[in-house]
Amino acid sequence: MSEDHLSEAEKKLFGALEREKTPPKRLEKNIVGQLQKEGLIKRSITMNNYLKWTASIAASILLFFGGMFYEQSKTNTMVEIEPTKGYMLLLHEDANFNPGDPMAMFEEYKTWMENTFERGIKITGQELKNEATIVKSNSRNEVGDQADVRTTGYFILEANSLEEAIQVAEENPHVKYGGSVEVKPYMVR
Amino acid sequence: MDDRKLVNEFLTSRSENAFLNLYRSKTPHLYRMALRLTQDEYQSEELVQEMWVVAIRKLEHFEWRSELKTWLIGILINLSRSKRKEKELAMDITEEMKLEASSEMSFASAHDLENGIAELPPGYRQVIILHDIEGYKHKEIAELLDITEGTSKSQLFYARKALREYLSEDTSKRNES
Repeated sequence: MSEDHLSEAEKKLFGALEREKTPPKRLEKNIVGQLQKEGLIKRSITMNNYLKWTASIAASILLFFGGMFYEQSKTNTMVEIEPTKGYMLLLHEDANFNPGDPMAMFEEYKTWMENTFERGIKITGQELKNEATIVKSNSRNEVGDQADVRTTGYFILEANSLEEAIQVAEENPHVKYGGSVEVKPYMVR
Repeated sequence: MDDRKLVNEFLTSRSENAFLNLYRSKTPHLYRMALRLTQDEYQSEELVQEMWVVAIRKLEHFEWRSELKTWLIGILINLSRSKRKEKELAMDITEEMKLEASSEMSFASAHDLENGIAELPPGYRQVIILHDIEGYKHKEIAELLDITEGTSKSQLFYARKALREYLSEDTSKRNES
């Protein structure tokens, strides 16, 4: 068999063919579902689940112990924070984040919030979606949920010092599961 | 992130997130190839899904003797061939193309070329995709498809011939209309 060769025009045409095609989103879901079913990957718990749980636990704890004003909506919970004692804990995840058994996590977060409240620290929180839009003066960039690092939730708390806020963050189960927590003091002018 | 890091992170955690990082880095390429091989969206999705299940089962034994992409393509193609064999047994299909020589692909666009590739018998299609689109050498194709290098060369020769013929007819029709 003598081997033939592509002409330059033919090479150019082959070079113009599409190399990639974005698969439908359902394919990703189907594959993840199949792999979970076969026990080949671990089931993930999203921040959505455990923050909803912990927010409702927090609400009951605050109402029970503090009797203070506490308003709860379907999507968020509000706690009044003294600005000079305000800290935000931002929860970040990357590929190292490895959630455990949902019920065990629920108990851990419940305990963490109970302990935090019992130390006299008001706290509330909210889950954030993976997707984000970075806005600049002349652009908007969608970063999508495939970003290497995702900010997936936050807590706001009222602590007596930065050190105390950091200690609370260190005890957060998110750290144990491979996530990181960024502690940001409120700016008060 | 490089392939080894993606794989190590997945094997360490077995987490959904680590899998998705791996999946999203490789699937657009594999899905495009599956579409070319099967010419059917549903079958392509089924093929890619099966490929990932097989790949994840075997991943811890992957020895990096080839690129990760090549290994995945190998699984994809083998699954595609198995499915085709099942179909052929069921339908008793024998495919032989009678070919007339043509000097060059007289085509109008990449779209025509895609259509021409779609018209090729599956064996020819696999080789032309791997050689002329993906850029693999005959030695690599022989390993991927478990055929000899000679067969790979022969299949490519006839695939190009068939494609030129198809595109030549297609151009004539377009010129007539």
